[in-house]
Amino acid sequence: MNEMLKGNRRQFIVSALAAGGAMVVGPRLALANSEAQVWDKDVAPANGAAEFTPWLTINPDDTVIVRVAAVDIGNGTLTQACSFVMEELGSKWENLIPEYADPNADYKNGGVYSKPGSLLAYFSGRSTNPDRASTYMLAAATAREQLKAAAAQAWGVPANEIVAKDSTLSHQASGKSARFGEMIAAAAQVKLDGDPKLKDPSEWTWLTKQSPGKVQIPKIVNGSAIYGMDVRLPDMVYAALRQSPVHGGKLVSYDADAIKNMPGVLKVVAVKPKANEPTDLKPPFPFGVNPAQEAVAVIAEHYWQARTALDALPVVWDDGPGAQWTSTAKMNQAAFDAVSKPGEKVELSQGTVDDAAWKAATKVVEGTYLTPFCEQAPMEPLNGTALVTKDRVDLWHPSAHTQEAFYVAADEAGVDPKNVYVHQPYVGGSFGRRVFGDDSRMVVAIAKQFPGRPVHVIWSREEATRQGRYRPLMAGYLKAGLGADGMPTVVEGRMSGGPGFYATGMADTAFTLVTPNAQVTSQIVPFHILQGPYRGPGYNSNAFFVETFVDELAHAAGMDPMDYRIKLYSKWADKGWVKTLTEVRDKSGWGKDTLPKGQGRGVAVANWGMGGKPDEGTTVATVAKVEVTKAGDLKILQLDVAFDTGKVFNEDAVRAEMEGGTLFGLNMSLNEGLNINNGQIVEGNFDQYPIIRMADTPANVNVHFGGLTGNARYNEVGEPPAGVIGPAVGNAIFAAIGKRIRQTPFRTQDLTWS
Amino acid sequence: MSVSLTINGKPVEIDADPSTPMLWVLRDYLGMTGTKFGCGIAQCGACTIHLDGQPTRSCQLPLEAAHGANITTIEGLSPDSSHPLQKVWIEANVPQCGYCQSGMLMAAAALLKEIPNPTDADIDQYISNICRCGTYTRVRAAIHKAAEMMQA
Amino acid sequence: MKTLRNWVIGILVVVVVVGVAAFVFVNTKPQSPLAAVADTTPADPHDALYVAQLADCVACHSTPNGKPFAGGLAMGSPLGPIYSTNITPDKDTGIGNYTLADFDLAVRHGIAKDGHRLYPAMPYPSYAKLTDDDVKKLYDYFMHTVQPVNQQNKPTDIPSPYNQRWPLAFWNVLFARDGVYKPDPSKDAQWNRGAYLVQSLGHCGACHTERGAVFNEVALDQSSNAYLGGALLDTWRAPSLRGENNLGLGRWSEDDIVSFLKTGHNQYSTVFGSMLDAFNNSTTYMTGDDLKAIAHYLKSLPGNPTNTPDWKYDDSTVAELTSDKLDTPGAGLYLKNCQSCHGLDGKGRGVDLPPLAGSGTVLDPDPSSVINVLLNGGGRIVADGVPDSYRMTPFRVLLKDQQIADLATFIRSSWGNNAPPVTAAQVKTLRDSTDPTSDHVVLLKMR
Ligand code: FES
Ligand code: FES
Repeated sequence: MNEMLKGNRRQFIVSALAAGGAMVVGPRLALANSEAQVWDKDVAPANGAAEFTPWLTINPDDTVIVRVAAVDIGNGTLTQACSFVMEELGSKWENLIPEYADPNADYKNGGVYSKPGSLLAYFSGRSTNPDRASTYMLAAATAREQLKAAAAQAWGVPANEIVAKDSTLSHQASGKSARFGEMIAAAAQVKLDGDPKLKDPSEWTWLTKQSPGKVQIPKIVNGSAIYGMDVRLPDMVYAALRQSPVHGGKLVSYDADAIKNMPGVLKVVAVKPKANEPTDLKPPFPFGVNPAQEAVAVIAEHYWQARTALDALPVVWDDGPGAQWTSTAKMNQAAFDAVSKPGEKVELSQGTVDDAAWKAATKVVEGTYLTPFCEQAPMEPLNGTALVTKDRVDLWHPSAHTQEAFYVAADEAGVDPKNVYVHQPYVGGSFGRRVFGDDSRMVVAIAKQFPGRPVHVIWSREEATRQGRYRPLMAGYLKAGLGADGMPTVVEGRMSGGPGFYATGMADTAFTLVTPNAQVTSQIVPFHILQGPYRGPGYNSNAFFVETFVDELAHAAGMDPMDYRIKLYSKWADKGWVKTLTEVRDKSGWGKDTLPKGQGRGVAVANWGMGGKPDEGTTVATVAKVEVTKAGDLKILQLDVAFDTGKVFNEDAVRAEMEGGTLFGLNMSLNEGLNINNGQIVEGNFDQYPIIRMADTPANVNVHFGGLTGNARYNEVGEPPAGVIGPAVGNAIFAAIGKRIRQTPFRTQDLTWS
Repeated sequence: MSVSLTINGKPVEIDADPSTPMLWVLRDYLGMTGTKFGCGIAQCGACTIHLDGQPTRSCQLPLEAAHGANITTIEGLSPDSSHPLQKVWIEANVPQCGYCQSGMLMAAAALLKEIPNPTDADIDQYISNICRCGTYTRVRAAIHKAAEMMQA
Repeated sequence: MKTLRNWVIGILVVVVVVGVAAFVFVNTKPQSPLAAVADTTPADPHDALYVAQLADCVACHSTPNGKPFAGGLAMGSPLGPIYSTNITPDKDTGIGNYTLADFDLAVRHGIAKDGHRLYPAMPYPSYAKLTDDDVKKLYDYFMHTVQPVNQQNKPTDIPSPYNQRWPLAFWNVLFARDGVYKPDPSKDAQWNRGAYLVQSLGHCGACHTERGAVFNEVALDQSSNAYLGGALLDTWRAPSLRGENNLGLGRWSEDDIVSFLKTGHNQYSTVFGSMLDAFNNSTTYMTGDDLKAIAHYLKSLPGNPTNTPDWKYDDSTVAELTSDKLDTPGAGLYLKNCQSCHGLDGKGRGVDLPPLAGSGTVLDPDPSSVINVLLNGGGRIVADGVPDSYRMTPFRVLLKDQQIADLATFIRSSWGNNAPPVTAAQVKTLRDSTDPTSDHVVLLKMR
C-alpha cells in the first residue's frame, strides 16, 4: 500500500475530494482536428458530474472517467486501469472512459497521481503495479459504497441489500432501481465510516477472468486516434532539426541566408538546450540522464518545406572527441579489450574464485560475446508540439513518461511548473526511447525560440536513428569450471560497455547465484555514443551472453541443453525457472523427433526484474526451431514461449505482449546493429537498418501459460521475452549446423555449412 | 499550381508545390492524419493509401503524379468502421501501439481485393509493411478471418 | 589493366627507337599562347564562377567532406587509384604560384608547372578546345574566388614502372590534338555554342565516349559515330547521347533534354549514378540558352543503327503482377519492393519517379547501371540548391545477390523490355566494388 493509502485513507479520499474541486486545469486549447480525445477531455467534471476521488468522475449519463497515470505505449495501461475499476464499481464496461491524469493537477495536488507507483508512475513501466491496482480498486469500491448508501437513504432500505451492477443500483425486495447517474449528486456527499472491504481475488468476476481488448482500438482502425505526430493546432508551424552527426559535437556555423527564400521558411534557429543546470525542480529522473544535443532547426509553414530547406542548409559542426572512434571494429575491439581482464567494478562476489577453485574443476569453459548498439526505432518517429509564451508552456508530446516531460518542459522554458500543461496523445511505440525526455526538451528548446505559435517538431527517420539513445554496445566474457556432475562450481563473469550501460542480468541472475564460487565485474569504456534504455536494458545483452554460455556448458558436459538447464536451475529457489522450462519442453516437441542436418532447436531461459531475488520479476523460457541452408540463410520455423509472471490479469493482453516482445527480440538478434564511421552512426533508415516483416515471421508465436507459479505478483510482460529469444535462436543454430554464434546480429555472421 | 483529385469520394483542389509528397499533403494541407509517417522512403508502409485501387506508399508519391487520380485513405476505408478487416482488427485485439495499423489495414484491404482468399504465402508476398511492435502473427490471422467473413 | 600495360610497354619500345630525340621532346614544354597576355584585370566574378560551373572542376577536385578544390578524390584507373590534386590558390600545396600561362598548359595541354605530365583522368583533351577567354576566366576564378587550402596532394598508388609519366607526352601527341574549338560555319550559332559546351567545358565525352586501348576517348567530336556513343565508367554505364531510339536520346525532345539537365527529371529518366555530380554541381546551374544549345547539338547526332533494340510497351506484365500466381521470383520481389513507386505498369509516377518500361538504362545490354542503382540507390538530386524529395532506395542491405539479379532480370524482361538476364555473380562483382550512397545531400558546392 502506498503512502497516501496507509493508515488514514479517510483523509486521502477527503483531501482528494477537496483537491478535485480545485482541479480545473484552465482553458484547454482545442485541437483543430479533435473530435474529443480521451487524453484531452477537460478534467473539470462535466455539468452535474461528481468527482469520486481524483481517480474517478461519474457523469449523469453513467459514463465514468478513469484517470490513468501510466502512458499506454501499446501495452494496454488504459485498458488495465479500467479493468481494476470495473471489478469493484459495478459499471458497464463501455461506460468506462480512460483519460490521462494531468501532471499539472498532480503537481498542484501533492502528487496525488504520481505517488502510487513511485518513479514509474506516469510511466508505462507497469500497469499492474500493486499500489496502482489497490488505489483504483479502493477508489471504485468507495464510489460504489457511496452510491449504495445514497440509494439506501433515498429508498429507506439497508445499503447492504442494494446491488450495484451494470451501472445500475437495484434493491430486489422493494423492486427499486436507479442508474448511477441519478444518484451521483447525493452519493458524492456521503461520508462512509471506514473503508469498504475490497473483494477477495477469489470473488473476482472480471480481473483474471475477462480479456478485454485495448479500449483505443476502435479509434486506431479508422485513423481517428491522435498520436503525437497527428496533433494539429490553430496557427501551428513545423520544424525540422539536425544535430551533430558525431554525438557530442558542437554547432559551429550555418548559412541561413542560403535557404531563407525557400518556400514557407519562417526562421532558422540554433538550439543549445540547457545542460544539467542546478534546479529546485524534482523530476522523477534527474535531468542529467536526459541531455539533449546541440542542433540547428528550420521552422516553416509546412513540414515538407522545413525538411527540404533543412536538407539544403549548409551547416558546419565541430565533431569533438567522438571522431576518434573511426570504425565499428575499433569500438568492438575496445569493448573486447575491456573484458580481457577483470573490470574495475565488482558486481558480485560469492564464495572464493581462486586458482584452487579452478584447479578443482574437471573442465574449464570460456567464451567472449558481443552485442552492438541498437536503436529502439519506434514506428512513430520522435516528435512533439509545444506552444511557449512568456509565462506558460503547453506541450503535446508522445511521451512515455508524462511527468518527466512535464518537469523537462518547465526546466527548459524556465516557467513555473504551475503554468506547464502536458497533453498526452497516443504514442507510436517507445521501447525505452521516450522515457527520459530528451525529445521533450528538444521540442521546447526549439519552440521557445518561436513563441506564441505552436511549433510541431518532427525528427526525420534518419535523424531519429542517428541521434538515438541506444542499447549500449556491450562485450561479455564468461569462464566456468565444471564439477564431476557437469554443473558449474566456479564462474567468472565480466562485462563492458559505454558510460552508464546497464549491468542487469549477469550478477543478479540465477546462473551466477546458484554457482558456489562466483565473481562478476564490469568495466566502462569511454564511448561517445549516447545510450539509453532499450526493451530490457542490460538484460537483453546479458541474457544472450549467459544463456549462450550455459548452452556451451551443457555441450561441454555432454548433456542435452534442456536437461542441463533443468538440473542447473532446480538449484534456484524460484520454481518458475524449472516450471517454464518443462512447460516449453513439453509444448515445443523438444526431444520428441530427430531433425535433419540444417535444422535444430535451441532453448534459453532468463528473468527480467528479479534483481537477484527469487519469486520476483518475470521468467521466460523460449524454444526456437530453425533451419539454416548450406548457403547460410536462416529461417525461423517455430517459436514456443512459456513464462512466469506469477499470475495474469488479462490473458490476451499478456499473450499479445509475449508475441510482440518475442518478435522484437528476434529482430534485435537477427538484424539490429548500428555501425560507426568517423564517429558518426552510419545507418539512417529501414533500408539500412532492417526490421523483420510478415515474410520473416513464423506462422505462430506459441505462448504457453503452464509456467505460471500462481504467485500473486502479476509482474510485467513487455521486456522479459525480448532477452531470451536471441540466445534460443543462437543455440538452435548451433544445434542445426554446429557453429557457435557469440555475436549479434546473426545477419552478419557466416552461417554457411557443408 | 493547383492539383485536383478525388479523396475518399470527395473532389479536392490542392494548392501546394506539385512535388510535395502526397503523405504531407494529406497530413498537413488536408489535416487527414490517419495516414502515418514512419520512414519517408517507401520502406515501412505506414503511409499506405490506395491510388486508383493500388496500394501505394504516399510518402514517395508526388502530388502532381496523383492529378486526376482517385485516392482512398484509412479514413475512407469504410464510412463507419464496418469493413470486415476493421471489425476483425477490433475483435482480435490486433494493434499494439497502433501506429502502423492504418497502413497494415490499407495494404490488407488491397490484398483482399486482389486475392479474396489469400494463402499465407500471398500474405507474405503482398504485406511488406513494418510493425515494430510485432503484431504480424495477429495481422496474418485477422486477414484470414476477414477473408472468411467476406466469402460468407 | 592488361591493355594499359600493353601500351606502356609498346611505348617503351617506341622510345628505344626514337631515343635521344624523344628524351629532348618529352622534356620540352610547349609555349602557352597566353604567355603573352598582358591584360591582368580579373574577369567579372560571376562570369568566372559560371565558367567554373560549366567546367565542373569541383566534382573531381573535391571530396564530400573536404574543402572545395583541395583535391584528394580517388579516381579509378586501370592501374589503381590516382588522386585529384589541390587546385586552390595555396602557394605551397595548390596552384598559387601558377601564372596564367602555367595554368593554361595544365588545363589545355596536361602539363603541370613542374613539367610533369598529367594523367588523362584530367580531361585536358576536351579542355584543349577551350577559348583563351574561358581559360582566363577559369584562372581568375581560381585565383580570386577560391579559398586557398593548405593540403598536400596524395601520391598515386600506381606501381612502378607504370607510374612513369613521360610516356604521356607521346599519348598527348596521339590523342590530345591541340586546338581551340573551331566553329562550323555550316551550322547556326546555337549548334556551335552547344558543340563547344559539350566538347570542351562540359567534357561530356569523358564519361559518355568509349575509351580506347590506352584509355583515350576514341572520338572527340561528331566526326565519328563513336562520339558520345555510351561507355562504362566507374561501375556505371553512361548511356549514348546520340539519336538511338531507346538506348540513346532518340525519343527525347530538345525540351526533354533541357528539363533533364535543369531539374534532374523528365518523362523518361531521372539523374542518378555518376551523372549526379555533373548535375548537382554543373548542369543545373546552366542558363536556359546554354541548355537549349546543348540539347540542339545533341539532337543533331545521328543514332548508331546497330545500337537500337526495339521496344514496344506490353501490358501483359500488369496481368501477371495482379494474378494470384506470380510465376517468376522477380515478380514477387517487384511487388514488395518496387511497385509502390514505379507502378504495376512500370510507368513510374510523373516526372519524379521514372518509368522502368522502355527506360534506356533498363534496356541497355550492359546491366551495370541497373545493378548499381539497385544496390546503392540513386543518391540525392539537388536541383539548383534544392534537394529532391524522391530517392531510389539502396537495396544492398535488404536484398541478396540472387534477389537483386532476379529483380533486375524481371525488370529487364517486363512491359516489353527485352534486355538479357542478370546473374548473381554480376551483382556480387558490383556489390564488392561499390559503396552505399547515403541519404545525405552531398554538394561539392562552390558556395
Ligand atoms: S512513411 Fe511511407 S513507407 Fe514509411
Ligand atoms: S502496432 Fe506498433 S508498430 Fe505496429
